[in-house]
Amino acid sequence: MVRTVAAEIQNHEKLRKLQDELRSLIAQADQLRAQIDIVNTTIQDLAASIEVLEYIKKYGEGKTVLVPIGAGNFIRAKIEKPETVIMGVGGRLSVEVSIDDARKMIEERITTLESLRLDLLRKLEEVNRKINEILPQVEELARQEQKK
Amino acid sequence: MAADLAKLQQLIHEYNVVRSEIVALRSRIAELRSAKSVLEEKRPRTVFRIIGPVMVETGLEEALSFIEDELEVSELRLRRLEEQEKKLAKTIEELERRLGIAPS
Repeated sequence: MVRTVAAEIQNHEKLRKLQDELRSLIAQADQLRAQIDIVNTTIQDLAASIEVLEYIKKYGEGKTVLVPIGAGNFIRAKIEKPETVIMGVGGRLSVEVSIDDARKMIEERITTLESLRLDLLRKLEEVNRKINEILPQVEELARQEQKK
Repeated sequence: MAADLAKLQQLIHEYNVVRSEIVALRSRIAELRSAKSVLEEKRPRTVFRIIGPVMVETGLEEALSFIEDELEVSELRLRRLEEQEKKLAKTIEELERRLGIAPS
């Protein structure tokens, strides 16, 4: 009888610990997924800006473009200097660089982000593997507790 | 006991605030270092500094000196915050031990 109670307490404690671990893993997985989403959006943004650069380089000179001024309103503007781009480099600073340099810098950023995405995906896979390992144990222990 | 618990809660809150400031500052320092390396590598003639909603044209040397100043201030602040973080962690640990609760 004493041994059974002791085993029940041990099981209950194990279940509690595993549930805590599972909650923490699920939170980690959510966080990783959110980070992957941000990285994906940034890569898409960068890829879109390369497309714009290519277009401007080929057909930009003297073209009229619509510049957004907020709230869905635009003003007309002419492209004056299509060979250079003003590019943010962080730290609230931007530099004027040639379109080719800008393209190279953007491609480097994409490469860095792709490697970060791969790293995050590997971590997510590892966390999911642990979740799949713990989940059946939690279910089994919870079933045993319910039977009592 | 109740007073100690309230103090512990307050210390944990302060610790979390300091932690998030450290994270933000580390990210700012990394950003400044990256901007510095781009400027040093590309040596562009025209640099723009974002001040509020406008971009003001500035020279390369001026931009580099702005980054140096910002880095110095940020690194100093980071060191102070890291010291504060250590002190808070130690105080929290001591208080938790005195209250007989598991370390957070």
